[in-house]
Amino acid sequence: MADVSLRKVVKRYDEVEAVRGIDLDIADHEFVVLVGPSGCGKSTTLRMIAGLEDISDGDIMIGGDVVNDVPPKDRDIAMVFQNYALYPHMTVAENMSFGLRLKNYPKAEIKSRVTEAARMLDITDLIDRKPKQLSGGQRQRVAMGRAIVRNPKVFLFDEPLSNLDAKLRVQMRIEIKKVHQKVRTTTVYVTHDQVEAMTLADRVVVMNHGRIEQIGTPNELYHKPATRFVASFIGSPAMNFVPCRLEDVGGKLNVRLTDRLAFALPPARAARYQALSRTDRLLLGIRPEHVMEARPHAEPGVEPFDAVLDVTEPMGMETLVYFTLEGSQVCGRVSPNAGAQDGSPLRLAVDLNNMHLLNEVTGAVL
Amino acid sequence: MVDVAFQPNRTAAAQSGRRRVGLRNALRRKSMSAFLMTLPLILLIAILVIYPAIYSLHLATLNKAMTKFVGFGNFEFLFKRETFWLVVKQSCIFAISAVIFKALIGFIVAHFVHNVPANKQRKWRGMLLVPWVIPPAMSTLAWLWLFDPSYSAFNYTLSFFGIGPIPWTGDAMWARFSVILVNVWYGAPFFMIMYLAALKSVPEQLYEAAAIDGANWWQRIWYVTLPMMRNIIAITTLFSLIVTFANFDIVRILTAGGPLDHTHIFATWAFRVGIEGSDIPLGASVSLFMVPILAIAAIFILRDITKRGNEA
Repeated sequence: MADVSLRKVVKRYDEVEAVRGIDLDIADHEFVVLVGPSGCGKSTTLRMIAGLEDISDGDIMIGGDVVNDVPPKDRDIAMVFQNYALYPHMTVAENMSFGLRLKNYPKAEIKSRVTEAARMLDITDLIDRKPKQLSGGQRQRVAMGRAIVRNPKVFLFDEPLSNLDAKLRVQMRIEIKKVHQKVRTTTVYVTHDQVEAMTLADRVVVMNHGRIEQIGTPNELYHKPATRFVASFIGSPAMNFVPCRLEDVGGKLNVRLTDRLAFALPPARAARYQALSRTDRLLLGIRPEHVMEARPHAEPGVEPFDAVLDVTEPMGMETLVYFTLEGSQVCGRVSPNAGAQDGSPLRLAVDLNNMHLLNEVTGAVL
Repeated sequence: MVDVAFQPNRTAAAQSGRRRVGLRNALRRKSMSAFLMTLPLILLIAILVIYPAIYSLHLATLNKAMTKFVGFGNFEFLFKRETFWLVVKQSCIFAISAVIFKALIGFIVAHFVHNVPANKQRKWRGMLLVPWVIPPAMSTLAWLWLFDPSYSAFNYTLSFFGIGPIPWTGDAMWARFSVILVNVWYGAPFFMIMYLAALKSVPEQLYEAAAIDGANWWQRIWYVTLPMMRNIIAITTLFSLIVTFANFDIVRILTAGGPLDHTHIFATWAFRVGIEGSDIPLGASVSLFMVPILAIAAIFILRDITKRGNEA
């Protein structure tokens, strides 16, 4: 087991910079997820840690040793690939033991490690089958088994669940978490699925355009995003952004969305935003769960307003409502009993205690 | 489509006579209608392949004047002749060593070409295929000049190093080497192109997984490349073994079987005794002798090809 550190790591392909100097420290036993849209450099970063890609600049350290020029086989890592990359001509047991056999481990030790891993992953019955006789989920387990038996310093996962159907993905997500709880190996996991990132990670690294946008625990990213990109990428449905500006009305600070719609900020928020310029173009960022139906006895900071709904999406437990504010579509979550209907007006309320204010130009959360 | 074409019309079938029902039932079976549809081609193959094959079997049982049935007489005669066993030996040496070297060189060159950047690969592939696309009769003539003992390029070049002159086609061992060399030169590009296609179909991630598992380049070839290419290697080897075994033009032009029949292979010797020696039945017997040898090879190589097929 070991910690992993990236120092100003850069990857250039001819003229394109895929990874633009990232710094990242992953502690021993930690489960870190790299998440971002396709082309953000997350897979490249993982492959550089694995040694499958050269690094153009910077340093990568595993367990304190710089491994820039160390070949993959000497980095003591194990990797699980998106398409599993199982050797089709080997049985499950042979696939899992391949790395150990190459390193000339004693037969008894190989057998006990494979048996133990197979038991942990519940694939004991499949041990003599070939990969083509397995389902997608079973192949995924074998690929993980192959990583586990090596007992490496670091596990690397490259979008391991992307080839599975939605139901199986949820199940395997839990399996991966269980495995990590048992073996506690330092893990770097790449995905484009923010739900996977949030549910699995000790810490999430959000990447965009080859840079790290923000590093934090799932809750930090969700409640205190640093940039508009993180705010919109994390959470489903995504955070709403409505153009707004600040104004002073009778000694109080208001946030004005439209000519007719302005909300008085709660005291804590007013104090935080007091110093901001009144002429800056700002964005009000508000998550759908903080736009709900208006209740008779509203808490302080929850401001009611009227909206005409464009579309409603009943989800059973809740109903998602969509309406337009100043040209921006806004999503809210209301109770299924709130009487929301397509095209009809509804009295909603916005919880400004959980609002975010962003600079429209820089995208920074203020 | 077959099902639709022969969709039974139940009311009509009930009214028609017993014989017509029988015919309909036969037609209704997929296998029957499929057989009827392929019948023209089957007949064509029968005429073009099976008839000559049976005719050569028939020929092999006749005497030299083709007037009398002699049974296995021709074969008994062949087994007693020393030259025949020389031809059997030389055919095996020729075919097996040529195929091994073609496969080996094709495999190595395919790896080099596979590692050439994609934009330059076309050029290399094209150049390396040249020996295979030149008609062998033409290219063997060029080799014949290269092998000429007194004024050839090879011996001239070797003379600078104090070697030679080497009797490329004059000495039995050198002549065997020469015909194999030319056959390898001619056939290796075919292996190269087949292996290149096979290499391209091996998923890159298997190599990455093997690299992480700790395999060095040799172990990657042994545990990943070769097993993944097993089918294509088996098929190309069998195919090439058959073609090489039945080779005619290279040996015919380069050595014409000489010196002293030492480079004769089945086809050239069959030509020698059958056409040039005017003993067609004996020539037929010689060429028929290839069939059991190749059949055994085919069975061995293709034994479990379906079992291995498409394991990915």
